[in-house]
Amino acid sequence: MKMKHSGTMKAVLADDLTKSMEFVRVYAADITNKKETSRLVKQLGEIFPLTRLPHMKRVRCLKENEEKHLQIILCCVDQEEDLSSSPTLNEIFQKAPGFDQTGLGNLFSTRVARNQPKTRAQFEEAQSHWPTSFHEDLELTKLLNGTYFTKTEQERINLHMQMAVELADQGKQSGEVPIGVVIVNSDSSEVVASCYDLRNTASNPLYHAVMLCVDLVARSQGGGAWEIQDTPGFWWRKPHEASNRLADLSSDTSLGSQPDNLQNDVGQPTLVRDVTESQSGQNNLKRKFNELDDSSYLCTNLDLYVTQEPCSMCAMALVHSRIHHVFYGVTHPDGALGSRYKIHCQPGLNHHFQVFRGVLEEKCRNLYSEIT
Amino acid sequence: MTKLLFLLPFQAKAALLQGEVPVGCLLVYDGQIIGKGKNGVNFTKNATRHAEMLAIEEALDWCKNRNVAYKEVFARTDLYVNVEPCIMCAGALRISGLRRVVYGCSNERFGGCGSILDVASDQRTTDSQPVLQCVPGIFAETSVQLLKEFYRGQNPNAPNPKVKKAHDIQDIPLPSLEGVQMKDPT
Repeated sequence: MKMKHSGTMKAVLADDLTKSMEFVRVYAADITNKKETSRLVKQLGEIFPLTRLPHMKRVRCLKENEEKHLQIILCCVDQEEDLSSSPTLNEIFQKAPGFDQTGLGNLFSTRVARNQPKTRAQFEEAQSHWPTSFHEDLELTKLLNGTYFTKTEQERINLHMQMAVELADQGKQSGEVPIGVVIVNSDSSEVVASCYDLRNTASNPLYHAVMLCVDLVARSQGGGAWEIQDTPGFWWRKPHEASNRLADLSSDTSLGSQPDNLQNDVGQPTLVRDVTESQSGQNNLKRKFNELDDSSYLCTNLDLYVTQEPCSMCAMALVHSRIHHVFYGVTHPDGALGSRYKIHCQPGLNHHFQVFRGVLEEKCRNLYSEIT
Repeated sequence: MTKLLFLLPFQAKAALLQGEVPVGCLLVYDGQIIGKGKNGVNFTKNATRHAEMLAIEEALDWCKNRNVAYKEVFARTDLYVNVEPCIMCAGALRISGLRRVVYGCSNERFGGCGSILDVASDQRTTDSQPVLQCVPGIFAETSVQLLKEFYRGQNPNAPNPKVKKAHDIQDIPLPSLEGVQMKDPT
C-alpha cells in the first residue's frame, strides 16, 4: 500500500522540475464565427507557424454562462515590440496581404508557457494561462508527492539511516567529524559496507566517509585501495561470501526454495524485500543470479545512506561509482547533492541518480549541533 | 621542464598500457616531485582511483615521512596532469589545499575546472581553502593522442576531447625543475 511520508524526506530534483514556468507574450483574437476555426488554424499555421512553441494548443475554448467561446493564437509578440502600442489586425497581417480575416474578432495579447511543462504543478500553472500539451511522468509525480516509496520501504530507509547515525556518533567519540555511511543492496537490503569519517584521526583530507565506504565496496568485490586498520564500526561483505552464495545457488536444485537463503548470516541488519508469491522458483533463482552479477560492478544497484549531504568530491565519486540512490540527513551549504550543486542530475554527466534528503533529519542534525 | 615533459606522458602511457584511462600526474613542490599517480580504476575496482587521488596520497606520505605538515607543503605544491581534473579530483585538490593545477586537454565529460562545473574556483562558505589556480594547455596534443588511443580501443562512439588554447601560460611563472630528483619509475 502506498502512503504519504510521515517524515520530512524529500526527493532532490533538478531545478527545471521545481521552478515555476516561464512565459512569453503572444497576440490572440476572439473567434466570432466558429465555422471559420479550422480554416484559420490551417492558414495561421502557414503564415505564423508556432515553431518556438510547439507545445501550445493554437485554439482555446472559454466557457462563459454556459456559452462556449473560442480564441486563437495569431503570432508571438516580438521582444522589441512596444506593448503600449496595441496594433490592429490589419497591422499584424501586413506581411500576409492575402490572409482572410473573416471570423476574427477582438485582438488582445496574452502570456503563454515558454516551454512544455514537465510536472503536474507546472502543467496546472501553464494551463491557467493557455492550454498546452503535457505528458505526465508517473515516477516523477510519485517523487514529487512523496509516494515513491511504500511505508515498508520507508521504514527500511529509516533503519539504515539509524545505522549511519550510530556510526557517525561512534566517529564523534574518537574525535572525528561525525559522518556515518552505510551502503546497501537496493533489492535485498543487504548491507554491503559501512564506516565513518577518518579525515581527522588519519590526517588524510581525502578520508571522507563516502570515499572510504566506496573503497570498502571495492574491497567486497576483491579490489580496494586503502589499507584501513581494523576500526570498530568498519564493515564490508567479505568477497568470498558472495561467491559462496553463487556456488550455493548453482547447486541448489530445490527450485521452489524461499529467497531468504540469499541473506547474509554474519549478524548484519538484514531486511528482506518481499517477493510476490506468484513468482516461480525458477524466476527467483534467475533473479538471484542477476542480483549477484549486478552488484559486482562498482556501486551499481547499491544505495548509500549518509548523515550529511556529500561534498563535490564525494558526490562525483558516487557518479563515477554508478550509485543507485542516495539518502542523506541534513544539508550542508557546500554540499553537492542539492545545496551548492546538483551533481546527481547535472547535465553532461554520464550517470544520474535519485537523491533524497531529510531522512531522520532531527537525529542527524543533533550530530552537528555542537559544530559551528 | 624537459624532464617533466618526458615524465608526464610517460605516466599516462603507463596507465594506458595497463588498460586504464591514460591519465598521469605529478605533484611538484619546491622543484621536487613529491607525488605521482596514474589511473588505477580497473585494477582496484574502485572508480575513484584517479591519478590525482593517488598522487595526493603519495605526497601525504612524503610529508609524513619527513615529519612536515602537509598543509604547509601543499600550499606551495602544483599538480601537473595531462587532462583537466574531473569534478571529484578538483574537489580533492581544493580539500587538500594545493596551489595550482597545470593540465593538458580539457575534460568535456567530467571536467571540474570549468568544463562541466567550476569546483576549482567556487567560493566555499565553510572552509577557507584558497581558490585553485588552473593553467590549461600543457602537453595538450600528446594527451589528446593518448586518449584517442584509449577510446579507439574501448569506446568508438566517445567524442574526442577538445583542446583548450594555452592563452595565459606565459604570464604564470612555472616552478623551476632544475635539479629535480627523479624517482625510479615503477
